[in-house]
Amino acid sequence: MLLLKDARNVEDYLAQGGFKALRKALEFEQDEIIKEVETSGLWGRGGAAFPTGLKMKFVRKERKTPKYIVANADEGEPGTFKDRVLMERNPYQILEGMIISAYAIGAKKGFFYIRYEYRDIAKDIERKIEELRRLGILGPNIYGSKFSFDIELVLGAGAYVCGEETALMESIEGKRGFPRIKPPYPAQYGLWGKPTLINNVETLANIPVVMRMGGANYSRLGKKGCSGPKLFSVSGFVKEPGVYEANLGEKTIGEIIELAGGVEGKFKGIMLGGGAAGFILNEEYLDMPLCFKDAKERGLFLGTGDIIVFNESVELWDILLNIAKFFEHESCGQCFPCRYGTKRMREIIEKIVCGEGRKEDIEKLNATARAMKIASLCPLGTSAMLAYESAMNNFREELMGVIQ
Amino acid sequence: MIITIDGKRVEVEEGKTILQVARENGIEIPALCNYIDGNPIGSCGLCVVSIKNGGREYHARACATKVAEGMEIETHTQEVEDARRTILKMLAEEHGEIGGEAKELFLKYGIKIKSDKKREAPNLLNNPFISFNPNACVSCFRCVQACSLIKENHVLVRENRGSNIGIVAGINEALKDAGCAFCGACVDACPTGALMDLTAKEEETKKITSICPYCGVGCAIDYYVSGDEIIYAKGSPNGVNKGDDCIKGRYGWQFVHSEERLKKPLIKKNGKFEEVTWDEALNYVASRLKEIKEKYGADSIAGLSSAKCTNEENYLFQKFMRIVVGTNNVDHCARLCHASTVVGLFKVFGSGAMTNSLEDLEKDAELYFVIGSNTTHAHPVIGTMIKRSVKGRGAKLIVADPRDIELAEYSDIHLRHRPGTDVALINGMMNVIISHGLEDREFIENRTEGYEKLKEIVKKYTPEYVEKITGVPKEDIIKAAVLYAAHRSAIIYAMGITQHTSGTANVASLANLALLTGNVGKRGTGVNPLRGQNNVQGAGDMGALPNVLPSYAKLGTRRAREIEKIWGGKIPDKEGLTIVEMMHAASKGVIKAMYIMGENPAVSDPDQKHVIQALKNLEFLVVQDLFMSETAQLADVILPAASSLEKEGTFTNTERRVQLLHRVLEPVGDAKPDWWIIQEIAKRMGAEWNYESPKDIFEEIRKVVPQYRGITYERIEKMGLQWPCPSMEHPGTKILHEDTFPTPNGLAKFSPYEYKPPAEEPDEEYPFVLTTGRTYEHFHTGTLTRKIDGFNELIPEAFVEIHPEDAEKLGVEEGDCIEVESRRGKIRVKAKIARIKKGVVFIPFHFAESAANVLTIDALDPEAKIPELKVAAVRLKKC
Amino acid sequence: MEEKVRKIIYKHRNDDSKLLAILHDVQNEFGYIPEDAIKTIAKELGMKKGEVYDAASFYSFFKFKPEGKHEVMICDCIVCYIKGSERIIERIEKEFGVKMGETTKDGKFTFKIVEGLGHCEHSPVMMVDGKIYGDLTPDKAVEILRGCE
Repeated sequence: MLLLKDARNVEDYLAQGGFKALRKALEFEQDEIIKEVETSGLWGRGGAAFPTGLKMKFVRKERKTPKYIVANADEGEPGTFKDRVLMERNPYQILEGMIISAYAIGAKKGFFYIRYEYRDIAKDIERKIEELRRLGILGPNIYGSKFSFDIELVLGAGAYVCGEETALMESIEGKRGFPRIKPPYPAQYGLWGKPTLINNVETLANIPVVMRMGGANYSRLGKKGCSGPKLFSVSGFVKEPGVYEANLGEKTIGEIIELAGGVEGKFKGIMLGGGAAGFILNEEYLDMPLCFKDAKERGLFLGTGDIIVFNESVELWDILLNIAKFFEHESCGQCFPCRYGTKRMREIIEKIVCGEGRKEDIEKLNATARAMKIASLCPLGTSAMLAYESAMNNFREELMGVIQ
Repeated sequence: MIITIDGKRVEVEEGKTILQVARENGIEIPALCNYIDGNPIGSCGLCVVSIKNGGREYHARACATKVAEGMEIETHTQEVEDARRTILKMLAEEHGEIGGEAKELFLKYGIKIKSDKKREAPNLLNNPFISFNPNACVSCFRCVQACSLIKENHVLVRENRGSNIGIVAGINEALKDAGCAFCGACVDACPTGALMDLTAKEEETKKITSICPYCGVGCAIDYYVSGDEIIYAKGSPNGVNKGDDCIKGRYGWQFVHSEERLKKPLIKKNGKFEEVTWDEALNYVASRLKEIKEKYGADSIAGLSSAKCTNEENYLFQKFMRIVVGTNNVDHCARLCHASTVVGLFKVFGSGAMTNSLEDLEKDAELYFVIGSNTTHAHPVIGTMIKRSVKGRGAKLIVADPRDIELAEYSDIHLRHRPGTDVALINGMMNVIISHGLEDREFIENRTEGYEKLKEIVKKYTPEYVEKITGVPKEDIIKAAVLYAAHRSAIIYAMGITQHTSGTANVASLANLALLTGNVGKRGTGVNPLRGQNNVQGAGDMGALPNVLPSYAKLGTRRAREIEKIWGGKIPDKEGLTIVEMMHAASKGVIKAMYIMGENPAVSDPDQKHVIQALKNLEFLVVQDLFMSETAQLADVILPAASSLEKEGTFTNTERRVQLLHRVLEPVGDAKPDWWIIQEIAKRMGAEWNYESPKDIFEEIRKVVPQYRGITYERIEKMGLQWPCPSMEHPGTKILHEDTFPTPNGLAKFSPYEYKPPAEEPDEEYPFVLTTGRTYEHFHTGTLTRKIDGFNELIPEAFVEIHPEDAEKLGVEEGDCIEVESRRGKIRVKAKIARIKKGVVFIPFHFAESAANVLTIDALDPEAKIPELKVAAVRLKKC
Repeated sequence: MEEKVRKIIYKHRNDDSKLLAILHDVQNEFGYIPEDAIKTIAKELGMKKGEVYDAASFYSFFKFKPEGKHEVMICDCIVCYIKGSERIIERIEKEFGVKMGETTKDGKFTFKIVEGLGHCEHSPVMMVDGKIYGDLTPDKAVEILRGCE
């Protein structure tokens, strides 16, 4: 395993070749590192799947200083827990990736943002940061080089929307987590208006892998053009729920479910993507390879890479209501389409679950979804209806069956 | 660049938003939350449009998206319009009482606002001026943006999130407790009628723009009138204030409708005031004044003109005193506020006015040095401007004040110097500047004289020495001096500088500092006294002073003779008495009669006991006022005057801008404009005057005052002009001394002073230093503001600010009664524990029943005769 | 109290990202974030108190009133939901005589519904005072909570 190693202590990590990538990187020119990452074909693992090297390049070329780097560990998608497991089992690899990235873009300061629900892990990461300072791997003149870098840990306080990069930066700045209007993007206008590289922790953990094996070799992991190891959170009705690692494009959805011990009960469907902001799919998708490109071809996103398995006990409208409640609670309230749209969706679905759904309600639901999709300010609002829409596509008969 | 919008190819400027471009091309995109162009809030989502560019098709907010080359924008596609309709429907389902401009949007889209949902009102509702309807509020955050971005107050904020989001004040407090400035910016920003002025009613109103009756900023205010009643008011966008206002501008007009307004002339008969006709009152005043003049001579009569009256009235008043009564005994309250400014700046620059303008100070000053001015309270619109410049564009701020005034929060350095030690502090800064070689040699060489003498005098004011005198750490003095010298710096000051026995020295020292660093005659620099009353500048310009004539012409000179020709009367050559001298003379029986127009010396002047005794000692006292002031109660005749909202004329604001008043209301009862009253008395004393309107008087002023020559009512109908404006073609003068100083040789003259301690220093018997000043809510002796219930609710009574440690030593807690005693008297006030320099206490001077001026000393500045209202020794005791 | 709050602020003087950290520590110290603490924080950080409250009130884990001794968060995210969280919630409400979001009369427990504790491999889960309990059944949940008493 390249990511899911068991290296909870620094001695274990060093014994498994930890920080070699960093030492190697420090001998590279900054642009060479970025080149390697670009060659590797590494795409962001936090949900948006943006080419990581390109993002680094954008920040690198900005003239404003200081520059910042942020590790996003605000893992809030229901059904997603791979970042947590990664932080528990292989935390140093994330930190190493962060230090290398900081060196590549010219940042002297980084922030590690962890959600409040993971506060025990946050404490642990904070201890590890302190440990690395003592070892000279963080702080001034890392490994005797001219490069100095330090990390500050920031603990969130319960806001799903802070997983969105600009909201997260607002939160670090000590403000309410309202997403910013983009553009400008964080690469130009990030923390305190300075160029900022923000990456998901799993993405960061991939950086040492890229450095160790070289970008070209990394790019050959998995399917061409969709490369590298990826973590999948598998939960719901499987026999052995957990986080599984596979190279992108190597395994199908069905194969990953098998890896997790197979379905518990009779298979009904899955939810794929970013938890609540994911797609409800039927058995036709089981043979789809888990790869950004394959997903895109079918009009889906891989998102954070989570698979929630439903068996026959699951009622779809109930699921949709649960998701609608989630979004209503987590809508930040900044923009009308999302603030009122999430509430309205919940109200309508609630009515349907109570058996009082009418055709007009479905129309209303669709109109609400359309307005939210084009007029919401951030991805929370534009993805809140994905589950509903995909369920309608894949389970239309069942869903419409209760509508009068 | 070229873009396509709704199929039309248009050339657009870079940097504009789609919303702006659409508007310019006559395309209306609904945008509920857009308030300040270029600062999108992005909440409503209604302005979303379809965009095609570079092969990409997407939707974006028009308010937040800048146009880019080749963009193809569709503003009203079916999809977008459907989304807008859905958003509006969702709003309508949640907020049943949406009103205001938003209502039109719903009408346009044919959506009925219908909802029974009721929302809980936040605590901000508890306040005397602003109403809030939670069922109309859609949390668009325009009010929050106004309170933060425009006003830098950050009082209105958001609470919670999602559909529970709402607007609250502070930590969900009452507005007052949250630190609200009651500027009404939130009300102006609200598009749904959720926030409204409490007085506002659904009534047809007409808008009349005039000038605010309060401070010297001279804000233009739009008054919305229905019949004979003002319904509400707000800062006019067409004034120096550009739409800004403060609590007084916005709500302070309410005094005009007070039940307590004087409506009929009154004569005191057998110790009681009786209503009489104007004829009787005027005849009586004229005959009594004539009688006294004949009996004791013209110099036994003195007059107080008023910085609250128009230029025309001040002009007429001093003309009346000088050629009808025949004395130069005319003064006004500038004596108590800026006499030392006039003398001090005259000495150094050759002119006694604010050198720069609000506009260039806002745009170009890199540093503000605010000394002896609680700007956000006394001149709020300028205070806001400074806050905005500091927060918005990173201007630096040095505050010198013994109190932790609001601006101190925004400052880079706060010099908390002991009251009365300003000369030492400023000399210390100059010492640092010279010793670090930071002086502007070229400026000194080409535009000044007397530098060597300055260098000599400030030599001993080393930071160490100054620290001992002022109590300011020497590092801060150095830092402040270097910062000041290193930037394009503007000095802003007010009564904390002028109301001292060293007032003239303080002012001159600030002027020296500006000269030393070349910070004069350029945009964003200068020495800028903030005038306290709306027309202090004008009253001085008009010669309502005992030693100079209109345009500051000296007595007994050729200029005086020229003015005599225009006036057709003899102007005495002997200088008259200043306010404090008049009071002394009255108590000695030298002054027998006084004519007081619109002033309240019984409360405003130092050593109150003595002033009241002096006024009582007069044989005849005429008071012309809006209200039965403390001074009026001592009068023999009271003449009811029209307020500035009930008449025409001009005011000259702090930046020398002559501005035209428009009559908003008819005078209440039988009240008459002051100019009319003065003329009627003059006529009855033999003058052949025949002014038909303030404009007639102004035409004469133009002949007498060269600085005003190019100004006419027509030219200032919309926006005032700044003097000097010598000809009809002249655009007015924004910045003084750009090329030369109005001195005989065109050079400014360094006028250094040695530090002299205040007249009364604390000692064992009276260990505290008392300093006095204004509160945000009230004004001067409270004659106007204390007639307004809302203001009294906010600040009902006097208080004394005291340092926590001093309070603890006295065993005093917040709200306890304290007896404050000086050598002249004692008062009782409530304790307010505050961040103020240890050993210093502060009492506002608005409250007649616990008048700070019972305590103050009437020691005078030797040159300007201004009393030291800012320093007195007192002792404190828990009652 | 002001002294304690000042100490907390001092502790974070070198942090670039201060506010959340300070608020967390204040909440740990007092069990909630008192109004006076907000005022002190605002003063010390050069903010207006409203700005502090604007930020703080956004986050669901910050509390502005004292709550029960034990904070119980029951996950009702989609995974826990299909694995039976509703039954656990129902049972707890019955057992402790409260609704979600409320505090028991004896002040021992405050119950909250949360969405996504991130331990989906053990759904359904709950968090009690920061500690995760997974693979719950209604009986097991009650048993764990009774153990806290």
